[in-house]
Amino acid sequence: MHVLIVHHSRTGNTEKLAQAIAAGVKRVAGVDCVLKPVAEIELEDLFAADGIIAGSPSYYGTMASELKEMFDRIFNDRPKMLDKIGAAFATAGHPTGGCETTMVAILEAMLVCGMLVCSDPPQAGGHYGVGSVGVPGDREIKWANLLGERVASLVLKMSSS
Amino acid sequence: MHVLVTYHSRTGNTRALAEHIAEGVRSMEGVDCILMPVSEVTIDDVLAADGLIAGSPSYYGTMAAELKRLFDRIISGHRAQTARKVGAAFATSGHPTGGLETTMVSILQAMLVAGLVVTGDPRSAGGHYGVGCAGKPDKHAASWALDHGRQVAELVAQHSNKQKQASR
Repeated sequence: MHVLIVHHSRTGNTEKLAQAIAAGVKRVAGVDCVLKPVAEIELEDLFAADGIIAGSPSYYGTMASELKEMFDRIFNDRPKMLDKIGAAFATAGHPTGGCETTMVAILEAMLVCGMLVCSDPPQAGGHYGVGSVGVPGDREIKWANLLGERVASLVLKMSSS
Repeated sequence: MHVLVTYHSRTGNTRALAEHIAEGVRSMEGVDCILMPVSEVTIDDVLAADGLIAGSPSYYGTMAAELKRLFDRIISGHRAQTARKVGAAFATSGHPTGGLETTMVSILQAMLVAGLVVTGDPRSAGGHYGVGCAGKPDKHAASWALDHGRQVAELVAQHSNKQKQASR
């Protein structure tokens, strides 16, 4: 059983957030984590995962074309994505620079794939997932840990039901 | 020529942001500003304005019902009269990703449906959809709000000059 964390990162900020989410996934016994930049993703990686957490910088307030292309490529294979757990994260250059709308765009793509999407847990406090303006600080790292942990726990719950 | 700045505010944070925006509107010569909580706004107030800047706290990541009700009232029968006014949005929330952006997008969507010509915040403010802040506006948010109000006022002035030229 494993969670795939996929990201696009130009400056390294989104990658840093991805690593903190991976650390959260690993807190849950029995769930493994695979962390990959979107450039290295094969479609089989997506089909094999029990949960997928996808992240992107905000480009025009939506996901980078690199990540969008990944979703576009699996459109005809949506049945293979059914009932996987999904979640999103994002970074931006400004406090209202599109973090939220980027996460919503990712969650929308996941919903279209038939995935079961979730946001960050109440202790993290956001609405749609974990976002960071620039380099993730201690606060964002903590939220990212919590998001990873939540997705891993949900994957575990789904597999036992 | 005037801009109506309207808001819903429970804690006072959205009202504080609205006041900074109003100050920005008033910095433009020839453009007046009316600042009003949405509970006091009538349809005539909206129809009389050349520009509308609406703000709300993020409730479930979208505008508060109080503001939504104003748009719902406009849409039933007044849509033709709101067409081509300039529109913009602002928002507050309790968390940095607590729905600021999606609240502004929900306001801009309503404005687009009502036929307004909408704008985000100017380059100097740097956001994507308008001015937002988590909690009480700090000095950055105050300065972005000022620029945001000013930009809408400038657009209203430009827009009305063009309309005057066109009618000559």
